Amino acid sequence: MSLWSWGANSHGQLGLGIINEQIEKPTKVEDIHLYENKIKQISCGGGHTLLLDDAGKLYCCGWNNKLQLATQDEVNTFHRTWKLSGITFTNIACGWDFSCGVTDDHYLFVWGSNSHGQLGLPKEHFSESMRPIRLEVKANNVSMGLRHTAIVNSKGQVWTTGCGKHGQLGLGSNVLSSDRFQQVEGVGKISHIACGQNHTVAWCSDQKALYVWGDNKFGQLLLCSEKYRKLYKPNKIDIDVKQQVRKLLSGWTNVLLWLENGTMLTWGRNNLGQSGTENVIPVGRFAQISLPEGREVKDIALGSEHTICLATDNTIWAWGWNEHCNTGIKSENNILKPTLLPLDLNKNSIITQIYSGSAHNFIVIEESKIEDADNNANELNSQEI
Amino acid sequence: MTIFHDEIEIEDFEYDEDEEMYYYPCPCGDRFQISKEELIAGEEVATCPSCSLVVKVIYDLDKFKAEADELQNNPGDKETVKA
Repeated sequence: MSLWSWGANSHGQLGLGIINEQIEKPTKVEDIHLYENKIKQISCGGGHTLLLDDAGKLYCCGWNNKLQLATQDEVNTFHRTWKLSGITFTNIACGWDFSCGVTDDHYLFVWGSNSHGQLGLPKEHFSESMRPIRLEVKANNVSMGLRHTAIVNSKGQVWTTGCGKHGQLGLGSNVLSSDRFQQVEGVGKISHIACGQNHTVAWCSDQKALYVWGDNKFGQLLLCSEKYRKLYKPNKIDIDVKQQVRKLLSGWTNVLLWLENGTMLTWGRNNLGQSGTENVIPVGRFAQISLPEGREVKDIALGSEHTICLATDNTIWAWGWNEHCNTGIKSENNILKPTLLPLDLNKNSIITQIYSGSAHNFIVIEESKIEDADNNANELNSQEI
Repeated sequence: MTIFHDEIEIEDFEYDEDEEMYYYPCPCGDRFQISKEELIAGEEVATCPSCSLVVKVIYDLDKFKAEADELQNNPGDKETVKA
């Protein structure tokens, strides 16, 4: 197994041992020691990265100005977060400069910036930059935005905390900020949730309905922005989708819904190619995008203003903002439609995981053992001949 | 003409008192920044040191100047005020 990264690296968030403006193409992360474990999940914040291994151990690198790494120092290679050793995590999430982890018994640990109450810690009792602390909050699903956090518990209820100036907390127009988790009323049983810069989107699989709240300046709520500039409470939107959702993801101001049958729907801001279509999408409408030549989507990840997509034929396609080679494609222009990311892979290499944050990305590549066995057999055969 | 990535109200910026700088997150992972001095001079474009994106700072120049003057004349140090 190997880990590769590229994109913005102004704080060493790529784990490559250097800090520079950007890394232009997928580059192997050499200095990483996972003690025989495998990578389970990666989450990318503004300028920091968290990595979770399959034993539930946490690693981190990048910016640490608000203690978002949960370590003492800022590091530009992956370091074990020893402060959290002994705790088994099953899920992690990063906001701009804050982080969280869900434990195997579903408790939520939070750390980093609490400047807007985004950690759910009362500001009169806690400092603006927090070391890891365990909340008496149980979470199944978590998402962190620029300055707010949303969690979904085992009952499918949504709880939010942090900045609510644009309605992103969904707690009504009189709650423009909260420094403790409060329950969002008026939503169905939520199965998927995603926080953007100043908005929140949620999917209810029982009703097959989308719920949106927060800033709609760029149509990120799938509503006309002239008519609905901000929504302070959840609005249910029937988008006539009759199937299950695989992933609901949000960039800063764009949203992507990946459906069971492989369809990808995108909406929101498209000034840098975020939506992956060259066609003009009317504000408040979605567009359907697909990979060239009928390729099927295996996984997809969104950064702040770009997207990377793994196809089942082991190719990666990317689009969106490209100033820091965010897409991994060497071009001075933004990438306006799904475009092949050049990768020099071995025949036996399989891309198994992809992750994206602000303007940085990670992919995990594994060597296929079955193919190895086949090759060995072939070699033996040829020797026999 | 400058194309702004966004328009951000001054109150949404984080202020660093030591550096006298205002910061707001940039989607590249770094931060847009503008100094107090620049704002007093009427500059309204906050730039990111790592990329080309810029945001327009929404603020009331007269009010901002008045508040800055007030702080300067009343820095909380009685000795200085006397002098």
